[in-house]
Amino acid sequence: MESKSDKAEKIVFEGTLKDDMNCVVTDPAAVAYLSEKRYGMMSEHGILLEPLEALYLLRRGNLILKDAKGSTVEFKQLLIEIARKDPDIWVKLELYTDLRKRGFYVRTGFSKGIVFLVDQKKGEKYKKYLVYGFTEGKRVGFSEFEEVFRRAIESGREPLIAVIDKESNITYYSVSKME
Amino acid sequence: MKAIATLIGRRIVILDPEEGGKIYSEGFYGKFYAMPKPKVPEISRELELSYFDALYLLEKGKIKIVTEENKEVSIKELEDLAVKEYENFKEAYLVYRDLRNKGFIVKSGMKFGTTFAVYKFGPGIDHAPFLVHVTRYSKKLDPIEIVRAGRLSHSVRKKLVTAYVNPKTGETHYFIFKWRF
Repeated sequence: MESKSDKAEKIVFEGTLKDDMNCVVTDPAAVAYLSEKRYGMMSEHGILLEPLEALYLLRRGNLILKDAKGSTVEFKQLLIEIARKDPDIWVKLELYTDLRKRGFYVRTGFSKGIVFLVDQKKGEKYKKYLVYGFTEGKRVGFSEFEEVFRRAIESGREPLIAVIDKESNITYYSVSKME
Repeated sequence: MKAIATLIGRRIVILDPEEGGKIYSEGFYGKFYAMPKPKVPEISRELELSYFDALYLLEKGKIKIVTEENKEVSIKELEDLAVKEYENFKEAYLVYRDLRNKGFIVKSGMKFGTTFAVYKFGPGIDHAPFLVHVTRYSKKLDPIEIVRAGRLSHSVRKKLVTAYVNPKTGETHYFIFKWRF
């Protein structure tokens, strides 16, 4: 479910797919929208969307994606292309979408693994999380687990574990240390 | 005077009812014969000690353990036996000992589906124990355990703590998972 404000502001814009699977959006109105919603990174040519962000916006109908020759790139094409390099892309898209639908701002590209920087607006302030996706059937080493915890605390974020089951159902858990 | 506990096959029992009663009263150690929930504090009955209780009490010098042939059992011998009889005993024992040393009463958590049930004051006194589940470091953490722990801890009355021992440092770590959304 999209939030009301998202629906009201839904805009459609064009983006160009680059060789590295990032996507550039140059239209000023789109740039303003994306930057307000905290998508991508500002670059000299406009906003640079990461593959996952482009995929999400493409699926959501905001983005019309063109390749360098000007041909339209469909969602399915982009998905398959990304999946060749990132076998976790579907799970990432599910988790990313779930967090966005909850109205959170989501940042990618933080590190290897299924990891997102997530900000939740609470009045004027932001509640900051570090969300780690753990998939069912795959055990997590305790040293890795300690690392998750340490990095979250060091970056002033609350660690949240997103447990993603075999059907990509997602449940979030907080984790706290007890001395 | 140390209480005498006897190794009866694979189990350890203080056969003298008076000694049993005394040991139990010192920290809710063990379980009285055929009495899962003792109502009265002064009970005199045979008292079975778990390997955890037995090793702890042996280390503390509170008991002496003998075989059926009256041969004394050393700490090392008891440990070896416990490792054979109880999976992941070493790590679970480090957690048990850490909690006991912190002053908690550590009982079996089996009926809750966990390794230990831990009380501040004791079973029958605290309303609800917190539950400690010991996870094997080398086996890693199964995400389903997070879900299970989160479910249990979601109820107000109980908290489920996941514990593990880092073999490199020997330190015990405790985590609480809570369902969020």
